Amino acid sequence: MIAFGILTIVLAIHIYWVTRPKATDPHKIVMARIDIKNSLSQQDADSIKTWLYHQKGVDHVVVNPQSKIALFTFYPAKVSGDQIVSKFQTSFHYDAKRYVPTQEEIANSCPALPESVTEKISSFVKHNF
Amino acid sequence: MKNLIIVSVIALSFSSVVFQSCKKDDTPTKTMPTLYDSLGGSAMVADPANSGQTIEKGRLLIRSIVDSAIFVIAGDTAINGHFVTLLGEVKNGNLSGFQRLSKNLTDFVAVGTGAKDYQYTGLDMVTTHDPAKNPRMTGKADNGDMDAFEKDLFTGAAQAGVPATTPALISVGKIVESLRSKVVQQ
Repeated sequence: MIAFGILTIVLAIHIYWVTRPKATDPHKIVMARIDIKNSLSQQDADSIKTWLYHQKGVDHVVVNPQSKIALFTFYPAKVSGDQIVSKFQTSFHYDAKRYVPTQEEIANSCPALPESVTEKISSFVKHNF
Repeated sequence: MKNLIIVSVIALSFSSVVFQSCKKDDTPTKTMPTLYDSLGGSAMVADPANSGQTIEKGRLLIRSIVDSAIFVIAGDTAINGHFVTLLGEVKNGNLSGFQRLSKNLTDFVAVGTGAKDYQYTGLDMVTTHDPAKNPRMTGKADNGDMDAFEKDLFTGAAQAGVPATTPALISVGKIVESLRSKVVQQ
């Protein structure tokens, strides 16, 4: 019983050590989405696209005027998505906000990405230790 | 969800190549070029996304199309609800949701079209799109979802510089369409 307890603790420490927060990989890319409530013309969409491309750390941009969604990928090692969205709101004065899915929404989306065993164990450890 | 359609489609074309190779025939025959070959094949080229690294030409084209299609899908309210995982942030040094989906789909398509140097392990199309067997499927896909996916795939390819008239892309489109009965289960 004691041995099992020790092994569990060792395993938990090992998993924490392996999965602990590390410095952000400079090659890591994250996608962010801005939902805009105002109607957008193609010209508006082009302006937003140009503006986003001028922001530090932004990699690729697509603005869909029909769905009023601006999508961009960025390097989190250089900038945060919230920083860009905050500057966007100040610069354009649109009624817009960053869409961030809940964990439940992410868990129910895209069957192409099953959660790995490692992530399940890591999640268990984080929530129980 | 739609991503898996592409993957299956490519798996179909891949299987046809495999069956060809299993035929008993003593006479030496030329290896049939795969769809992957027509997309660029295994020739190594510089990877524009990773300075100093190389990538197979076929994989590079597939990745470009996949990434472009991902952007189109993420902005399409008809189906983007199925793909919010794209917007997942970085977790513990692993890839972000966008990068994971890009890699996963690129592997799937590459393998399905005949690439030898990559692996894809996933559910079959019927199981993947069955909510009773796959908890990530919160509802059955309908024909509208399938139509939107195909449209976004071609739009993404066009934005990646691959027009809809490209023979290889047309082949991929036909394979995707052939999976409709497996994906749309209602």
